[in-house]
Amino acid sequence: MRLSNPIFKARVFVILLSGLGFLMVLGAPSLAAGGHFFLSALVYTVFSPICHQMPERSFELLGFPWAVCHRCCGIYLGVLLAAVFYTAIPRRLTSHEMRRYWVAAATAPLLMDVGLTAAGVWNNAPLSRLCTGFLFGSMLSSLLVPAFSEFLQPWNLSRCRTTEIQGGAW
Amino acid sequence: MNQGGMLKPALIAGVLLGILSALPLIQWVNSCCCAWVIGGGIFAAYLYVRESAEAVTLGRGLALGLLTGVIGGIVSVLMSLPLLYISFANTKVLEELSKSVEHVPDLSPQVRETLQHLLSDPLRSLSFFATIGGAMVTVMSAIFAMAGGAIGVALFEKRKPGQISAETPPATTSGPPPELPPPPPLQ
Repeated sequence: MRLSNPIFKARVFVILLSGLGFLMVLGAPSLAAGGHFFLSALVYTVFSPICHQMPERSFELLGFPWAVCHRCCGIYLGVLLAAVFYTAIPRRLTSHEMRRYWVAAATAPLLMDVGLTAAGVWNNAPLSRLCTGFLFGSMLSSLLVPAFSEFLQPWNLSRCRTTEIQGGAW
Repeated sequence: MNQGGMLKPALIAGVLLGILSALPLIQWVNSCCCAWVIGGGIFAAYLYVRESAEAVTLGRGLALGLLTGVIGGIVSVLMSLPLLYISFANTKVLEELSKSVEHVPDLSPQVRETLQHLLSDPLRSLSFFATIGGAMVTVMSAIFAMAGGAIGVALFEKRKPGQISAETPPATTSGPPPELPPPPPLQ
């Protein structure tokens, strides 16, 4: 039964969470365009601690900037779409042996895009910010879905053995 | 679940990320998609994987990240309070905010009156904005640190699920072990 499948439940949870975030990102300029400046300002404020929100580095909707920048938008889109098309992600990428290489491979382009621009070697563009963010978000989703499938299950006490560690190093 | 083992790495990483997120100038790194917060989750996962006798799963990394983010959010808010107090104690700042509230076109009269009442007293304004802002920061910290926790486990956990580290010393017990055969009868 699909509904009892923990992976399916986790996918739904990640889709709802990232979908809500993405709706809010689009909601801020839509509200501003509709004259609801107070509500729009509230939504922009929610995202202000986590994104620089520079208008020149953000997409535009109805004459107002989105609530997050190109890169953050790519990340949220990556999380959302990777959860929707989760079954299309090769299982080998998220296997125990390969996942650290997958994390490194998905994070490196983003760090390079930021680092090389800060160093003045390369001028990143909306497309590079969006694509590197999308790749990072997809990787994040491929980890979050199995993580939430375990996290959302009721605790199985027989699996959680407390192991006495003698002389902890803390 | 070794919950006691989760608390220490969450505390250490949470306090560190809270301090970094509250320091002026340095806190701007969080503008890059909460880099300090995600980094805090990754660091907590590194500390926990290093000390855990059992292989850490992605779900536990998520729980660890949640704890780290909550601790970090609370620390960040507490450290920001002195600066917030200085800002709100300045009556000119409150007057400017009150004037800008008057010019917001789509505010209902009740909301406008409530906001202006809040902004009329420095302590009241500080309490309100610190509470609302603090709750928002803590929730966002928790969400992004969860992601950091999952990334950290994926990066640093090399043992297979269910595997116990060979370096773990066996639990000590008093008395003879049960597997010893009974002594031979005297002849």
